[in-house]
Amino acid sequence: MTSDACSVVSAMGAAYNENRWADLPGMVTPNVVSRIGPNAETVGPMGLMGVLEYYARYFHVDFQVLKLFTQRSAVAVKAQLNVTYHTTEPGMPEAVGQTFQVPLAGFLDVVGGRVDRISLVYNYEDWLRATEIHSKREGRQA
Amino acid sequence: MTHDGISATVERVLTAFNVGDLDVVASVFALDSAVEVGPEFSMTGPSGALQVIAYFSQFYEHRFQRWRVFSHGGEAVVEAQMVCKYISTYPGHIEAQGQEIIVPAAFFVTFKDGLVSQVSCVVSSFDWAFAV
Repeated sequence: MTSDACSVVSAMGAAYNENRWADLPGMVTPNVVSRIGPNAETVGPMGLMGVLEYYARYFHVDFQVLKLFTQRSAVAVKAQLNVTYHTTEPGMPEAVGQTFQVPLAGFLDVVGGRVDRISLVYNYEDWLRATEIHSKREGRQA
Repeated sequence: MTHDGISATVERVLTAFNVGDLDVVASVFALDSAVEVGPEFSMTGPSGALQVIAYFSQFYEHRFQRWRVFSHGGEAVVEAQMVCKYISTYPGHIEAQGQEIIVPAAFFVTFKDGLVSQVSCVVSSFDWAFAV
């Protein structure tokens, strides 16, 4: 199960990064619980897709997996988000195409070959500071 | 270091943290260990770890209520839930009124010779910001 869980999570990450998002709902259970950022928990594949589509309006995010750790049917992911901020999100600094990296931890449970729980943990202050710093830097260069 | 050994160390340090036994917390850090919080805040060794704890303890009371350890070789990731109580206003942030929330947190830990040689943490301050 351990290697299976790892394979499932790796496949999901690849589908995300390669923009094969139509494949994602089939990789999760009907009751998958997703906890990503400030939108608290969503349930089901469409909830997950809703969160991803929300962020995609403002950011291009590439998951760079640094290491996978497995514990029975659970997987922890040490990763870095490579982010391009392309469109201003309401309440956030102006988007000027700034790029930045944010460390992230992902925790996923796999049931029957599908992901049943996703929890992504990253520091919002890392994110906010990066957008602000890079916004000022881009502004100075312009 | 075995998974059981790493799990036992994590259990010991988080349990000690919860009861305020900072001597035990400090004892798991190597003298030259790197303690990183966020992208620009890095301290060194047991005293550095205690400085980080002391800094945030000015503003928050923390305790860990659940954790799970993933490890491979001498590396580990700890998934944790941290109960935070906002007791004193953090500069530039909203007023502290004793707000309390459960915040997801993760620790990336590297062990060497049975001690922590490097640790960094990410805390979902999104949850915190939206709750307070």
